[in-house]
Amino acid sequence: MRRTRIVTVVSLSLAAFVAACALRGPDAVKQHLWWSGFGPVLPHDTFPADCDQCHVGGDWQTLAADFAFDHAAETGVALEGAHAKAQCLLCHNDRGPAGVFQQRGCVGCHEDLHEGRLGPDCADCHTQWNWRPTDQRGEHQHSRFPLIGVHAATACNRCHPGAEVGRFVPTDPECVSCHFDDLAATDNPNHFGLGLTDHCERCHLPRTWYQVDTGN
Amino acid sequence: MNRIVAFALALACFAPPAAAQQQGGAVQTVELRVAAQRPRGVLVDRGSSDGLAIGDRVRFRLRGGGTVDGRVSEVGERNALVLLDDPKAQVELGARGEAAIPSSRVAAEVERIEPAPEVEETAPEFEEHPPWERADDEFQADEPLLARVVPLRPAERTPSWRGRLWTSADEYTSSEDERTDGYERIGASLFGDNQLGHGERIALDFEVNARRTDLPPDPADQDVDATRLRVDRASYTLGDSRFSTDRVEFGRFLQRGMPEFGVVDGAEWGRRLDGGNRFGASVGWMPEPDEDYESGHDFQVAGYYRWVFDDSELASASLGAQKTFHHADADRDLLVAKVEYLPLEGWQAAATAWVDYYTSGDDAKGPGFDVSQLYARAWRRFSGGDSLAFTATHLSIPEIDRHEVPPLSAAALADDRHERVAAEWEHRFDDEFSLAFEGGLWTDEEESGTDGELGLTKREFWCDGGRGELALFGTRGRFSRTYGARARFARDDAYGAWRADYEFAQNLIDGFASDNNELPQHRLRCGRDGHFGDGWSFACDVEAFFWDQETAFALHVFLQRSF
Repeated sequence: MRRTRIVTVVSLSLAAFVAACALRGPDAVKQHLWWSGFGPVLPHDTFPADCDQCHVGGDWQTLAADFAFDHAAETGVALEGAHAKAQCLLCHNDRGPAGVFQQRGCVGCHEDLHEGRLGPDCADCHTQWNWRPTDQRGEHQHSRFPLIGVHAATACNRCHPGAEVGRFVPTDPECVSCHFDDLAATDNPNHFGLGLTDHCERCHLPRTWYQVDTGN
Repeated sequence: MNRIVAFALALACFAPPAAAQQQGGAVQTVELRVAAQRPRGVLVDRGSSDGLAIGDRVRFRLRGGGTVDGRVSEVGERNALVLLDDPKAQVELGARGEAAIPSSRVAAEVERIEPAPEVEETAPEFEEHPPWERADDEFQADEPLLARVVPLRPAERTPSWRGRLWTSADEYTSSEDERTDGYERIGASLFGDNQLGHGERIALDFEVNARRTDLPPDPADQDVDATRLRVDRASYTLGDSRFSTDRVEFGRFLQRGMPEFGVVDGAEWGRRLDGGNRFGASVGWMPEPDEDYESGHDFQVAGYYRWVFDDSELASASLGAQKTFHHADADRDLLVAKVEYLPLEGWQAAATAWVDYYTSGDDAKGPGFDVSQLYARAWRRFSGGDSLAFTATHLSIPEIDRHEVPPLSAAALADDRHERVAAEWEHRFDDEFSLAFEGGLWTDEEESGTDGELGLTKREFWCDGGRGELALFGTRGRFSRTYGARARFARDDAYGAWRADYEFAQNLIDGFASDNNELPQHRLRCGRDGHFGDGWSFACDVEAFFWDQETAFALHVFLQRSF
């Protein structure tokens, strides 16, 4: 059974990969000539020859205060949020072609501290102004464990111990995974003694931490 | 050739420097520019092909007025290093200068580049050209740069620091026995480039945080207080540029070649091959992924190979293997396979699989391979702003000794799994209205369910920069069913955005026969994001939760300075 599942997954992945390569358009990607001749990472071919129109100071990284460049109009790529104020070298640098960074999405430039486990669409949770996650409670509706009752007003790390370092999976949804200490500390009634160690939802409501419905 | 002739015509604009005078005879001036700064000198954009030689005197004209003199100490074919007479003098990049060189040397160079044709004994007769009437066009500053620009290498860049300092607070309080939770943090993320002059990159990321939970005065409960310093990153990286095929990083860092292998306290080496393929290996201890980030319990060795379709990395496939040891005992054998297809237009796709290999000693799982996690996504953005995406995920809990997963029984380890397939679709009717849908189906070892949300957005709603959203959602979860609606208003301005949400959800909890199975839930949230030109940004949100018997409030504050 397990082997069948693996074979299926690998076969589907390979088939999708081959199909995607076969469907590639002739001019799907146009890259800056990042490698050629080790010229500037940002092509200067069409720039004015008077360097101090843009560059000031003792290095090439400092730009004039009145420097302006309409990135969306000139390149077709709009710079949103904090990207609009970022230094050019953060994207256009020696570490790789900016075109490749762009096509790889956020992880082209930013480290994926979720280690690839949450997928490539960072904007589901993060803003482009300060990378601060917003309204994950709403996103939690799209899981098998919507946050209801006291869970909605609980810090993430109470259920996801790795939340502080970007780890949210795997998380077991069973009550006892998070509430084992509560279970162990309860002696009125003695849950262990009575065998009340699973299916907490038979009695406990998520309305409060302590409320119990014994009507069942 | 033309350049040399042109320079030859610009004779004796200033006093001939000593080197040329010492050689005697006529001198010529070679104009040059500063291309890069070096310790005690500068690199200029003229070399031996322009007639420069070691010992030639050079005079630079500063933009702010005045001159600085120097002497050529090294000469390449197209550039030369000039050591300044005054090592403390500053000559700006792009500054112009002149070198005076003997005319005989220029003539010899011209002869070398273009030997003079043999003169025929009988010169052919030709009609003399009438005098040229049109003068040479004067070069204008805004004309394209035709000269080749010399790039700076990482080790030549001005040392710099960038990053952010931030602080945040999240406070919760509920009406039930006045329970409160607090979580305060202050931290920094810093990146230093070329601080030690080797073109290296230094990364530092750390925070100090304090958690506090005040529980009701029940003997069975314990208040929780903890203050921690956590270092997330502290690493030194060399290479990682187009001038170097190798990359080495050591310290505490997230693995670059295969981030799926996680953070290590150790070292990673990688090499880029012709065509863009890469391979590498890493070794080190793995911090436990929780709030303590404690290291020293788990050791790992890993290797990977990444194949790319071409330089553009339109498509790539990666395969990596990791072997971990927990307290020196063999623990996890993990394979990670990853494929990406990422054209700038059309469908894009990415998939990653985490595959564990178990031996007969792994009682819960049994010997063999097991896909412990799979993430696959295909998406496309259409012209006009429409988009469509499909996602499939699989999760099971790996049988490992490392403190990475919740402690579970053998039966749970063997059976627990979770799969979900989802679709996201957005359609823009025009510049103002759009409709979005997100829905999914899930199944696990016990049940299956579904979730869906349909939302309508109107831009320029109510006021300039305003945006209104109305969404209906429903979830068939593991322990409950939820139906509800959410209304949202946001307004962007030049300094950030205001936002306000109201959400109502009716929760039907499984397993209760009495009226207690219904739990209505109201959630109100309003906040403000702000950002300013000097790198400051902040965010503040207030949330209120109302149930039929209890209430709770949350406050989130965030302040950041980027530089």
